Amino acid sequence: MTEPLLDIKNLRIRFRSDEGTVKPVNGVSFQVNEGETVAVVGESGCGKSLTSLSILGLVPSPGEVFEGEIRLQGKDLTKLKKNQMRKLRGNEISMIFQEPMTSLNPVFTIGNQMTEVIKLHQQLDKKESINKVVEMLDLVGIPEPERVVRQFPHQLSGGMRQRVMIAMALSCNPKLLIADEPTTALDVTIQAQILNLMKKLKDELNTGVILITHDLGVVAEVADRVVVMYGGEVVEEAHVNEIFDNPVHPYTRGLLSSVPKMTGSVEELGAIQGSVPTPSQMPKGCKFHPRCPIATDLCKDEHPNLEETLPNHFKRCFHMEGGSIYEQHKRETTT
Amino acid sequence: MNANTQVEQNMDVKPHHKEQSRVSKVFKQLWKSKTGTVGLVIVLCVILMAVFADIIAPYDHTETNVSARLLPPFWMEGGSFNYILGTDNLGRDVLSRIIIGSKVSLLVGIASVIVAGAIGLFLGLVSGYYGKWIDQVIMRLVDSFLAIPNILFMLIILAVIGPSLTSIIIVLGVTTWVIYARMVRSETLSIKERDYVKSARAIGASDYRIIKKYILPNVVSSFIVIATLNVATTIILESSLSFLGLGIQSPDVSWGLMLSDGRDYLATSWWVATFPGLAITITVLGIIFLGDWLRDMLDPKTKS
Amino acid sequence: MRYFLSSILKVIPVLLMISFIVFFLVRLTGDPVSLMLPETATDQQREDLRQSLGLNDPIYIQYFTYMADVIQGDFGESFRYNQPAIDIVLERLPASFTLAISSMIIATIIAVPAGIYSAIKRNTFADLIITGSSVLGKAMPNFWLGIMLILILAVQFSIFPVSGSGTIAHLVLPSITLGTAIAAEMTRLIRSSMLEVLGSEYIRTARSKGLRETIVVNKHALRNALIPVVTIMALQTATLIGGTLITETVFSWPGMGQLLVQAVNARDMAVVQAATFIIAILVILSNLTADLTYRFLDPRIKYED
Repeated sequence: MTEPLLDIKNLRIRFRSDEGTVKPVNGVSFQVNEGETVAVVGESGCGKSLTSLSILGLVPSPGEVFEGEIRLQGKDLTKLKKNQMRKLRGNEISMIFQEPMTSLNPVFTIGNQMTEVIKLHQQLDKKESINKVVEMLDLVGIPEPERVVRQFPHQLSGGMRQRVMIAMALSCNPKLLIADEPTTALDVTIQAQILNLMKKLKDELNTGVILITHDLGVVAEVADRVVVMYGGEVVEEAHVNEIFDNPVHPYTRGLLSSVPKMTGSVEELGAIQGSVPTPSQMPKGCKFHPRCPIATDLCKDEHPNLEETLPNHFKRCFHMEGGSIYEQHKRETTT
Repeated sequence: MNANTQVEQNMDVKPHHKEQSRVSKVFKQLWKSKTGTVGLVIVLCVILMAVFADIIAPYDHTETNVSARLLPPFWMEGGSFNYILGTDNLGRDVLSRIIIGSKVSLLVGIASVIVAGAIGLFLGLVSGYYGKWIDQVIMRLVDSFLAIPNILFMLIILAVIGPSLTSIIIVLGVTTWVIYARMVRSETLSIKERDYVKSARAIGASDYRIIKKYILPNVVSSFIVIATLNVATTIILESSLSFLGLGIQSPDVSWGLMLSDGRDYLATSWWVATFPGLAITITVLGIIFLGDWLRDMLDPKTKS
Repeated sequence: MRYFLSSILKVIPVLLMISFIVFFLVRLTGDPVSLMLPETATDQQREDLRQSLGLNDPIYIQYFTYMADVIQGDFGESFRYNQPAIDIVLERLPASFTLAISSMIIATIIAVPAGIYSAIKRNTFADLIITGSSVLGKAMPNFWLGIMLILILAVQFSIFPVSGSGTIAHLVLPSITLGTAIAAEMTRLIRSSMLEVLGSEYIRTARSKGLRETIVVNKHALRNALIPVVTIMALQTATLIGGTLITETVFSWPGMGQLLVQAVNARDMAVVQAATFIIAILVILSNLTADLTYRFLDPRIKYED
């Protein structure tokens, strides 16, 4: 097997303050191959956004990566100097953020903000970079790109702004694209357009994509592989079909059973009781046990490891060998 | 079931718990905000100094001593412990004058804030609550006051009516009400539109009652913060007026007046102008620290 | 353009109101006749003068006569200088402008880097020093700072002249005095505005593009952070002019501020009125300019009209 595009190994992030240290990301590992879309799912506060920011070296202070590796084509990003990391950002790795309304600078034109990144990473002069911007805007399906170049963000709709963000992120042909909830703020028809666009561009450019989302509808549509996170760790990882057809971890099952039919947001979980523990109040043992329907004493004391139970299917749970205990438990409680 | 009992327990425990923790929370917060503590200590010291000024001051502030003119502070050559901070051109004790001067500075600061607050509260309420033409008139009045520097306004009025303690307090009040009026007006405007106020009005509550019950409680914390910080502003304004010769007049004494006197002796006797200035700076610093802390405590939304 | 006209229209009632306030203040000063005639004048002479000055007319007629004069720029004669008051005031304007501009330059040179630096180095020792000095600058009475500067730099070390005007050296101390006072407020504003902007999402986007931190801060953040700073600083023009009143007096700088203080002390009301009007107009003009600058800095405004 060839080397993966991105290989995250045992990533840990901590925030130190007067009140103590919290570790919102605590031992995350997963890989992304070229041209592959990996969805990272979980409720708010599971550490998915922080993980993605750490790939860009943009963990907000006072947070820091204190253990683990983030390898991009074999090169460990956590070891890079600030300046070296900066040269990768927007060039080899780029990112699309959740809020198209506030992610563009309100006082500069679209052209200004886009040429900035192109001039920085590719040796193009002003005229060439403007041509490149127009070309990119055209590629993401923005009508009249020559006019949009001279416009300010507030003159565009949310969907158009997100297209601009995508165009900007892709303008230097990144090897890895991180999309953090790229469609959450948009309405449903625009969502579908943006997702299709991303899918198309990924295939054309053979970009690896990390899709951060809590929207399982989006996952089913575009992901190849799914990483489920809970409490700062990966609790299950498998191919997208495998996750939907044969979920193993009780948390994944909870997520799936709470998907409303149309839009599929899991921000409010009906099927899982309780709420996500904050990093400072992380329970001992299995982090999910207070909310888990099948937790035993073992789960309260011991912390399970991430194990490959089926080929290419990893889970972090003591029980659930192929789902049998869960089924058994379910039968017992319903009768 | 489980969730229910938990809620009940919470309800049961909360009020009592809250009372207790509120007091301790204030103290904890005060302790945590070191500048807040410093501010409170400074302000308390100045208040004590002003209240007991006549007892603490070693000399009367008007007592002159021709043989002890322009003596330096005790640590310099020629200075003595008789006059710890030295004497001025008439042989008056600088320390005593600073202690007694604190009375005027503090009195003027606090009294004029009360005058300004009362005017601002009234005009702000009227303007925000009744709106229409009266709002227009009051707001243009506010604009006019904003277009003329406070200090100029005060100079003109004092030149007309003559400077005295009372006239200075009134003039300071009459020229600094704008900030309160603007704050009260904008708060009133937003509260007036809330549903519970609208429904109170619909069932026939009087204007007086609505203002008292809904509007005043909502402006009180911003009001206290602004008023505290404005004590600092008025102390500086008073000293500026006295410095320009239209403030406190001899034989009364204020820090600004002392500065003005000392200015003529800078070349030979630096202490006459330096210490009253320090007194103003430290006092104002204390008030600013206290006011900022109050703002964090009472009114996080006005944090600038 | 329509916006410009409407703001001019809003200015008129303000100027009217100011004329009102000034008119009544001056009428309260007491009998102008007794100031103008020697004490030996007879009652008949006084009465004649009252009549010729229109002081026996009803008060509203007096106001209209007064307004008619004011609109033509006639504020009466200064009895101290025996010249039209407006001429005396305008003569002093350039000196005040020089002081105001050099103070603003000093303030900007101090406040912009200090405000930015303390925002990006938030909660460090440097931040503590910068915010501490800006609070201290607010707490110190401006004229006291001026006196202390005279004491140290002029009296002790004789680097700069104590007071007066004529050379660049004369300008230094008053400009520092006024400039640091403005800088104290400006630094605080820039710091808090920068902190807010630096936490925004477009700054994260700018960083994710791989821009240098200096570009992120000085282009993306600063431009946004300055928008509120400009507005708030412009609203402080009146306070700034109030500051020149005192600073000019401390340093005997021959500007409008010093003239005003002297005129008030001498009850030279014609000069006081003229200067007050000029100041009010300057303040209003500066607020208009700030509005225009605001529109220039923030592209969102133009399209919302």
